[in-house]
Parts: sequence; structure tokens; C-alpha cells
Amino acid sequence: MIYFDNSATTQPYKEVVELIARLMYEEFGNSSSLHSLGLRAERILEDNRDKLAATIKAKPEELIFTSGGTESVNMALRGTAEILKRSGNHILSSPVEHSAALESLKELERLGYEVEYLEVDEFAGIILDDLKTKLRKDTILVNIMAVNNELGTIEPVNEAAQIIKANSKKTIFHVDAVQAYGKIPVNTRNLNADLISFSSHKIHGPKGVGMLYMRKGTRLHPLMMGGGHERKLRSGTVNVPGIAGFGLAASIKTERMKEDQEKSGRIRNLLIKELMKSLSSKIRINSPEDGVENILNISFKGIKSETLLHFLEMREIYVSSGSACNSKKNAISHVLKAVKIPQQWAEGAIRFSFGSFNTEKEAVIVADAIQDIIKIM
Amino acid sequence: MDKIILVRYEEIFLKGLNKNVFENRLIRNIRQKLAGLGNIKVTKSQSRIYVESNDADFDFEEAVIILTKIFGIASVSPVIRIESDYEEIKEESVKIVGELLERKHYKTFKVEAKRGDKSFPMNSPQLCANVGGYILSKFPRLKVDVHNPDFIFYIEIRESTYLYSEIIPSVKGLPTGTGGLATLLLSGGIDSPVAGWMIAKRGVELEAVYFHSYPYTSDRAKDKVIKLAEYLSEYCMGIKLHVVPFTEIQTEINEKCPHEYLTIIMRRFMMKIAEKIAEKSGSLAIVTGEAIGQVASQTMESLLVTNSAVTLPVYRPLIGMDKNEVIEIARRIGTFDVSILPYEDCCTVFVAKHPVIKPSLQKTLEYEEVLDSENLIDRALSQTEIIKL
Repeated sequence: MIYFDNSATTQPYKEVVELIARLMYEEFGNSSSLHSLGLRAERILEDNRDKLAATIKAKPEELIFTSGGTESVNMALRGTAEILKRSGNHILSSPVEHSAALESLKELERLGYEVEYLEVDEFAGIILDDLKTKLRKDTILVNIMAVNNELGTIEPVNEAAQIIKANSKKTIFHVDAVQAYGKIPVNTRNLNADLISFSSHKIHGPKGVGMLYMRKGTRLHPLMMGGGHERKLRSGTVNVPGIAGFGLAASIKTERMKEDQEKSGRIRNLLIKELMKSLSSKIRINSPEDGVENILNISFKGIKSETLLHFLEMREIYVSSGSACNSKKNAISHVLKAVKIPQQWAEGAIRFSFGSFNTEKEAVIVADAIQDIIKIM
Repeated sequence: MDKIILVRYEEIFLKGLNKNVFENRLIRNIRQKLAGLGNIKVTKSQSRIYVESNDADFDFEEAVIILTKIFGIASVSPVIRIESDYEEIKEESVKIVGELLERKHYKTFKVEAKRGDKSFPMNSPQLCANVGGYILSKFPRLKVDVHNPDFIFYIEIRESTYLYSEIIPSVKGLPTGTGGLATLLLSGGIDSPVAGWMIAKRGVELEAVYFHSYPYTSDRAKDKVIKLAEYLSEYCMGIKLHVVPFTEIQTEINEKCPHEYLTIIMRRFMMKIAEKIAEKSGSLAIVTGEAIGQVASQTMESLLVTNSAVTLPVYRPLIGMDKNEVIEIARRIGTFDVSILPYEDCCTVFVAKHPVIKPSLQKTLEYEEVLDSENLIDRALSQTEIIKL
């Protein structure tokens, strides 16, 4: 099996799975219980909060644990809009965000907020001058992802933060770092964002765990009401084993980040080189050269990406397609539409995404398989 | 006092000397479908069927839901059976009405009585008036409305007395297994499950054939068809689903035949394969979800060309229906929500930009000649997977 779909999800590290299994069985206490079993769980929770905070140079009390990236993003966007509804009505966002953000913004629009989208360049990078012009005094919230999940584009979030804060210190800046964490440094001291969303399962941690960084002093209206866990911001019995798994995955991934990314870069280059051998006129690289090394988006001319995906799956090679195949309508991804991909390339986009477990040898096998398949398709 | 379910049928009455065959089959089907709920007794009396159980915790509500999906049943009523004793009738009637009024906000009612047992000392109008009056005295907020009541309270005096207040319509039709076997071409769309359901309604058992073009079609599409077949099997006492690998045939047609004829030739292959499967299982017809003019392959000309591929009769119960009428049935039988899932007979790869709308049979036959049809069909059949649902 060759798994080149690590931006969808990753296989957890074995030690992560073992740790979670052990904690689920042995340390099953409720971290809010007053007895010693609860205290033990609470200690594990707080140790991991410290550990995770350290990976982004944040203070532990600035982290709120959630059920994943989607919840973090929902909480950040909807919770901010709710608490700042008297300060203004204007929200700015990049248009190439994950659907967790786009759907939350649609919901806010229904509630009466004015949501405006930024322009992007041919690689889905936001245009900073456009941000400057669109910022207003009543802009309460700006939302930009750090790394684009389909193309791997690194967005200029540091520069965006400077521009936003120069316009108004009161504007809240949310960065979706789900695809950035563990791939490029995410440092809350350099990145002047108020809110940052993270997910565990994209870095070989468990699914169902995420976190939201909230810069000290940032206020939010919670989505979940209940027992007042996580400083009353996220009620619900805390998933201590999952969070411990996230903590361990994060320390392993941060440790090997540089090495992993360099390896991903070699896999990426090798895959391109091998494909170029016989398909140079039939492929188009949609990802920017200066994007993250672990995401490579390529279009194949005259081929439906979903069909290629299924042909690869027959050989136990797993990738993602940039468009869902549907005989009635062609559902091209919103990111490919936003970068105005030429029609002949739009339907054949495949995303390869690499993780800790991939090898360069796999790139050669995948390239060979694709060349074989395209011959018979 | 016994709690039982009264099952009514309609069309079977018209069956003359064959009536028994239909009734017995219906009873067998009811037994089979309800077997999972516990110990049940199914009896026939005076052209009706009674379902009862000695299990103290028998789930009558679930039984009613299952019964309303059995072909041949016109309607069902949860019923209380008691001795034909006037005092008991009065008290039980009040109890039933009381329970009903707890669930529903009814304001008006009337009583309908039928006296089959003429030895009962009161005639029907008297019984209606007396029991109705007693109910009114216990529920002062209720009013009698003989023309348009919110509910009707029924009293039937036969060998025992039967009391009920609800008549729940079922699917009607004829008991499954009284009409032979038919072979349904089942895709993931809205039409074919409805077509199958309509034929099955007439007492016909179904087997289904699905053509899977993996990897051009995702395995999710296959799961979706399995799900649809499961829905159908709920109505028709089980279905055998034949999953025929179709990729090789499609690729061959795609390579060797003119593009505007792709779909029509493909449809002919589907019919031929379905016919082979039908022959083997003793099926008497092929069933499709086609309707005149719905798509290029369903014009009168196209249907003629497809039809010529086989000698078995092809039943097309949707032939004169509009899409919205089909959707209405699909919603009613529950297949609609599955049919509209996005994984459909992907991809546009095997669909011509401008398919022929008025194909000629002669040309079609000529184009087909380049294909090694017999071998292609045999290979597809030998690799067919059978799933019993």
C-alpha cells in the first residue's frame, strides 16, 4: 500500500496508538472529578497542554482543546462574531479556505454579517494590497489559512497580521493552521494572530482531537454549553487520552519536521521528474514551487481525476482528487475555481500529499503506475 | 381481552377459485416477515387475517410497520378482541378511546357497528347509539359528527367482538410469490428501484442486475445499489443482486464503435446479459425503469433498438410517467434519499457528447459486429458476483 493522501488524514504513529490505548484503559478518570483518579487525568491533560503550547511558543492557558479542526474554526469564527456583534458587522476572509471556515462564514452571512472575500493569485495566495483596501474600521474579524490544503500554498499570514493590526488593534485575526502545523513553524510570538486552529490527525495523531489557540485577552462566545470545561469555553468531558495522543504526535512531528519536509520535497521532486519523462505535455503542476513540500497538486490532461484515483486504488495507491466525478455536473473544487484553472486542466487534478511514513521509492512506483494507467485509460 | 392485529386484503377477493392460493401465500409471507419479532399466530377467518402473539412484550407497533410493507395487504388495524358482551364492550370502548385521546387531539367522532352475529341482542344502529352515548358521557369534550368525524370507532360483532379506531393503509397489490420471477435492471438512479417496486407489487419476485464499471465507477456506487436492493427486498421477501463487471465491455465499445452509439450498444449488452441471467434463474421478464423520451437512450427509436436485443418480454412500468410522478413513489417507498446520493454511474468517460437520438437498428447491428459479443458476455457472466439480500 502506498498512502499519498496525508493531507486528508494520516496513519497515527504506533507509539501514539499504544499510549492512547493504555490511557483509555488505565487512566479513565474524568479530569473534572474531585477524587485522585480525576486528578491524575487532569495532570495528564495539563502536561500535554504544556507540551503542545511549547510547540507553538504559546502559554498553556492560551490553548482550548476541541474535537478537531472543524470545531476550532467554527468556534473561532462564530464565537468571535457573536461576542463582537456590537463592535461591527464586517468580516474578511480568503476565498480558498477549508469548508469548515466557508460554511461558518455562510452561516454568519445568514445571521446578518457582511462577509467579504479577498482576491487570490494564480496559486491561491492572498493579495496583501487587496487586504489593505478591503479592511475597514468596522472589520471585526479576518480569516486566512496558513497553508492551503489543496495546493500547499503558504499564505503570507505574518504580513497580513501586520496590516490588520495597523488598521485596527480591535480586529480579530484567525489563522487556520491545520495544514501548517508540523509542516512549517507556527510561532505565536512571530505570528500576530489572535486565534489559531489546529488538528491532531493531520500530524499522525488521533482523529477527534484539535485545539484552538487564543491569544491572552481574546474573548469568545462558546459553541458548547455545559459543565464549563476548558475555562467555560468548551464544555464536554475532556478527551484526555486523545489529547495525550495529540501531545505525543506533536512532539514527534515537531522533532522530525525539518527532516520530514526535506524528505517530502525529495519525494515531490522525484514524482514530478518521473512523470515528466513520458507525460511532460500531459501534465500541469498546480502547486506553487514555494509551497509546503508535502503537497503536490497535478492536473492530467484529458483525464477525469476520480477515474485515475480509482485506477490507482486498484493498485493500492491512495490519493485525492480535485474534483468529484459526477455525470450530471462537474464538481470542480472551489480552490481550483478560485485560481481560474484553464478548463482543459480542471477535471483532471490529483493531490498527492506526503507524511512521515512515505519514501522516495514510493514516488517512483506511483509515477510508473500512473504512466501505465494513462496508457490503458 | 386480547390485543391483535387485523389484516385486510382487497384484490384477492376477486380471485374466485384461486383465492386460497393467494390467501395462503399471504399468510406465509406474513409469518416469514414477522418471525423475527417473536412467537406469532397468523389465522384466517372470514376473508381476513388475524395476527396475534402470546409474548407478553410483543412489539405490536413494529409489527404494524412491517405489515404495511407486505404486498397483498390493503390495510391493518390494531384491534382489541373481547367476548360479545354488551357491558364489556362499553367499558373496553371507553378504555380504547381514552388511550387514543391521550395521543391525538381529536374533537369529534362517530361509532360504526357491524353485527355479523345476529344472536347479539342489539342491532347495529342501537349498538352505535348506546356505545356512542356511553363514550360521550365519559368524555364530555367529545362531540358526535356523523359526516366528517376526526375518528371513527369501530365495533364488529362476529364470533367474538372486535374493537378498533384506526385503519392504517398498506401497500396493496398481490402477495409476493404469486406472480413468478422477474429480472430488474437496477442502477443507482431514481427510476429503476421504483420500476422494480411496481412490478413486485403485483406479486412478482425480483432478482436484480447491476452493471459495475470499476474503477470508472467507485465502489461507493456499488454500495449504493446494494442499499437500494435492500430497500426493495424489504417489500419483496428478499432479492438476489447480480453484480456484473462491465468495464471490459464498456472499454471495448468505446474503442471500437462510433461514439454516438455508445450508450445504445451498451444498453443492448445490458439487456442481453440480463436475459442470460433470467434464463438461468427461470425468470419470465426483464424490468427496466425506462420512460419514453427521458434521455436519448429512451426515445421510441432507442427503445426499439434496445428491445430487439432480447426475446423475453421487457416490462417498463414507468413508460408513461413523468419524472415527478416517479419521484413521488420513490419518496414513498424510501429509495429516493439513497438514489440522490452523489455516487452515480460515473463517469462522463463513456458518454458521448451528442448521443444518437434516433438510432437505426440496422446500423447498430453493423457497429456491433466488430465486437466479440459472445465472449465478452460470457466473461462478464462468469465473473458476476451474487449478493443475497
